[in-house]
Amino acid sequence: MDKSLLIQPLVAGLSVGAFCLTRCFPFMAPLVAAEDRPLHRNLFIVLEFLTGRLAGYLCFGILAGWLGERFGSRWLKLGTDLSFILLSIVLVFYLLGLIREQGLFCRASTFFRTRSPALMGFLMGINICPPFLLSVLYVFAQKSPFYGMVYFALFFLASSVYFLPVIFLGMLARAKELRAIARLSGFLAAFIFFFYGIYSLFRL
Amino acid sequence: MIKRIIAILFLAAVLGSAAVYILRRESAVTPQGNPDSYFEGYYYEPLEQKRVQCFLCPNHCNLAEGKFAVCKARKNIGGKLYTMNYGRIASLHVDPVEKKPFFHFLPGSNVFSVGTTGCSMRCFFCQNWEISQAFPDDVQTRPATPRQLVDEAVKSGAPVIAFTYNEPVVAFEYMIETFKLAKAKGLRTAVVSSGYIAEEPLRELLKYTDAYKVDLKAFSEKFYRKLTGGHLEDILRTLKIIKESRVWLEIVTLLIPGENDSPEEIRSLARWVRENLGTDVPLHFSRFFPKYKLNNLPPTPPETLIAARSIAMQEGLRFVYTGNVANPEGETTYCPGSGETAIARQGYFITRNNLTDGACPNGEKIPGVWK
Repeated sequence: MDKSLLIQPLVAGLSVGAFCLTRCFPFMAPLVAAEDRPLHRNLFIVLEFLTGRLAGYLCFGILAGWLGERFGSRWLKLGTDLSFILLSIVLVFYLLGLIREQGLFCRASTFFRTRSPALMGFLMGINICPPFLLSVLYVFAQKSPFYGMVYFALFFLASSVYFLPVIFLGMLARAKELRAIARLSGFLAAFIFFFYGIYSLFRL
Repeated sequence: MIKRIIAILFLAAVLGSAAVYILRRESAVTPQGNPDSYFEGYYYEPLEQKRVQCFLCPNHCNLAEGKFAVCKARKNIGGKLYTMNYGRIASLHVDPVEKKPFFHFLPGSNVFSVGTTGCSMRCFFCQNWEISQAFPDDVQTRPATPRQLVDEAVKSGAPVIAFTYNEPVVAFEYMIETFKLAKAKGLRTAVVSSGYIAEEPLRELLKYTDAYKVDLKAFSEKFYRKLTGGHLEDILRTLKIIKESRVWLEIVTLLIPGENDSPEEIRSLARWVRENLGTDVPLHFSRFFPKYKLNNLPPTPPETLIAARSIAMQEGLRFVYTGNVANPEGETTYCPGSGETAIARQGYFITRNNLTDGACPNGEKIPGVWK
């Protein structure tokens, strides 16, 4: 494999990683700061979120490489709009405690109970942002599912560097008032993205 | 107090990043915000139920409301056809005219070269697929009105402005408005195109064009259907119309191994050119390099290009060139009568020009636009 094919996704990830963080921050920050947990547990949550995001990237990478030219931009946009809506719903359920151990939806589902950060990360991973879209166009041209996967894995690694400081946001949750604000901000972010997703889905 | 400040900062960071993301996404999706600011396309007809039919190229796209045409540059918004790439430049360079390639049109000149996005074809071997196969919002563009573009061209000192890189016809309105202004400023105008355009807009465009380069991608309908999404017959019609119009015409054929490089096909192509356009139209055979969806093919062997040139000259064409390959003979213009060197080139650069006002030292005239 040509070396530039490996360097390109790393450079792309590093150059747009800060933008990726901006995109994930409204979902990630309330997730980390809404509950008082030890630092290592927050690290675990962030890693879980990032793993979900990686899974989203890889699935999308395989799909993009496999579909090649058949995947038009309008379908990417539809995917983004739908993932906004789903993300908002999952975040609200999480903040309401509906998908935790005693939550309404999780008595029968271990997956939802233990993996909601990963699920949100996954939805974030398939949620396509403009720099990611450029990467997709590049992968289209390669027409190889394997390279698609390698590309998105490296893109993920490089862009994840910017996410590490988020772990320390969990320290805010030691104060009750700050936990409440984290929850409130999560509800507001979910509200904004839910209606933005609906608006975006149905506009011309 | 500190807790309150931190809480406010946290809330501002979450909501601020949400707002930043949405605003950035919106500016990428609808860069001009208001559909009223899009430029309404020429050559279309409104149909029932807010459908429209575009007549700019032979695709004749029939579009429901909200749909893009095949070219990804024109869209039906509310029952009107808009050009979504109007005034949005995806690529801009000052190139030597030999790069287009034009060998008989102001040799040695610079060309102010403009590209937008979109294409009416889907060539598997496209060399500029990043912009030609993209929607205007998929790539970074910068805005420029026709007047701004012409002012920049004048400032650059290039005597020619060309629409090139992607298919210029999909930016028809932008190109023609620019050309009108460019002509008024004394610039020459050039189009570098696949030739896939309907007759009426072509005749209109030719009124403002000085030179037209057409990619005759092959001489078989099968090739066109399989690898381009266009039709040979439409390109041949375009070539005849350009030739009749007296706009300067040059033809390029990219030879792709195993696809369009058989001696029989090259002979048929050259014969058609001779019989329909005459022997004076320059024909360039260009070397293919693996790209886009034909990454699996090898580059064209130089011998194939040299043989193609030889076949075309046997068929009587007087100015046949090879491109993308080091072949001094294939880069040189010869005076047909004496065989003397008229213009010697190396790559995109002229190393010797023996012509005076388009005439060889022995007085023999070479067809072209020389001043």
